[in-house]
Amino acid sequence: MRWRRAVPYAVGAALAATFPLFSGMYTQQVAVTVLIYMTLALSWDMLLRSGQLGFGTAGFFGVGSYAAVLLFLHTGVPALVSILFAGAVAGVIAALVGLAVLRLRGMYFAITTLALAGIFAVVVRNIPSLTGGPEGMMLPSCIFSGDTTKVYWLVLGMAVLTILVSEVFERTRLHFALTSIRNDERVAKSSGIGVYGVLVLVFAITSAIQGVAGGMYAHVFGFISPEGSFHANFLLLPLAMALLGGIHSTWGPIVGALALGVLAEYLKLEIPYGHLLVYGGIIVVVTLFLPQGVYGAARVRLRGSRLGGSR
Amino acid sequence: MSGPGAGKHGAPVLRADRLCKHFGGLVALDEVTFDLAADEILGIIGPNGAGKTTLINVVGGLYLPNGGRIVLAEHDITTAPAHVRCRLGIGRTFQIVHPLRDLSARENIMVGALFGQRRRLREARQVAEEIGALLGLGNMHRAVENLTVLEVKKLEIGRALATRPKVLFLDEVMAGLNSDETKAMITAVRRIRDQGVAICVVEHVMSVIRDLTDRVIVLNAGAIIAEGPYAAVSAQPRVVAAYLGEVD
Repeated sequence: MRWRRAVPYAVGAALAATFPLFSGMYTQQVAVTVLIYMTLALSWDMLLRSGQLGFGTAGFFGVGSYAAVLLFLHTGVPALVSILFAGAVAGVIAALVGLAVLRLRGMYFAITTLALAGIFAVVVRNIPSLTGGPEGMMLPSCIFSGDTTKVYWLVLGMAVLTILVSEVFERTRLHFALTSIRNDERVAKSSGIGVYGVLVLVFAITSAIQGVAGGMYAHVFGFISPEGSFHANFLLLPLAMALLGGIHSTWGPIVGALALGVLAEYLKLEIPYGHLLVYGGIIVVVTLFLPQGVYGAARVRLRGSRLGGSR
Repeated sequence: MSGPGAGKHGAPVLRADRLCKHFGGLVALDEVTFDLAADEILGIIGPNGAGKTTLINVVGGLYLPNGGRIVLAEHDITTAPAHVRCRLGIGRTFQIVHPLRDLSARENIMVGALFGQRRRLREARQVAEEIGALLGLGNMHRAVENLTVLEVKKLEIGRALATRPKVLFLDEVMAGLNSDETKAMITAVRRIRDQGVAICVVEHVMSVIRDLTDRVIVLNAGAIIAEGPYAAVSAQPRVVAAYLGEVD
């Protein structure tokens, strides 16, 4: 029976891997963008599984963009190394910031992490000798000289690794720690869970993923700037995707990113900038009528239970 | 110094020495001293607002005391965080039930074993099944929302028990149960004690206190006003006065 359950995964993986063989450059470009947002949506959801509503996604994404580009330009290390470095920088900053802000809960935590993007942007804007100041910086050439097929596989690799990390979150003792903290923090503490330590760890891991995504994005598109790299879209779109697909799961953000990413591309052509209105509408409608998201609702229908899986 | 219960039972597993807790100007605990032997069931009674739940929160580590010491089996845990106290052997339930609603019955109990005892997933499943059987929880794969009140209360105890506590605090686990359910719960608590767990029950149902406990302490306005076997304590005029109000 086990192999039969693996069939959909195998088909999905095969489709994703061979995608460049039957698609053009434009479609691959769209896919790259969708996969980067999917990575952000998953990482945002992974923190949310602990009950903490983090709004630092755009901030750590921007930190990753700057870290990757600056290391790359100033030392000449390979682009891939600079992308991994971006993750390390974002993770370390998140751990340090987390030691302070993870004393906060609910809206206080959310607002404080939202401010991070603004703080980081001000910092990079004001050291022009290092960061290029308000104008930002250009890379002499994009990663793989802009070969979309290679870029696609690289970004796909990042998305797949993030999916695997998300599944580790879902299938190990970490799942029990995060769910307990989300459901009742006092019970979690009284059951032996070191709540503070778990939250700092998860905040650092998810921020590191966002940093890698930022570094990847910068190398794919070839530039960084205070306005562009810390843009609120790197928070709002992943959030909308995860909400639409369904929170507290791996599949929800994947489904949401695919649906909203493809829809966004279509809407951009039909009604330029109108797609932002549609995003807003989706967040409102989903929150009101489908709080579990598309995947969450489907899971309830299929299994007749809020408890997925056979744990 | 040895408490009144120490003679009959073994050496105390838990000692609380002159515990104080203030909330602003309110004195919630005023030099509360007691100890608990390994196979003892201690009752804590007192009128509403006497400090019973505060005492559990201070011993469990959700509040830090303003004064005094707590020693658990030779470890001074006065300033230890709650999760460390849990791992050292303090288990507790909550007065208002707090099941982890996104986990199944079995998973709720597993949480205690996973983190209180640092067990692996497979071992924790085993522990949860054993505790479920001990408490008579039936189908362990049910969602929490499909459990009865009695089962949710047992689930709370099960999660605390899965941490393998040396001392188990039960905060009004009998409240809201009918008489048959109460009997079932008393049986379950005795079974836990028989496994060598010291138990401290906070309860308003006096028949439960009478049937279950070896000894009680009576709290009023944060201070211990009487201590001893239930029959002796319940006859004391000041205990009656604390419950019913002063009669001049």
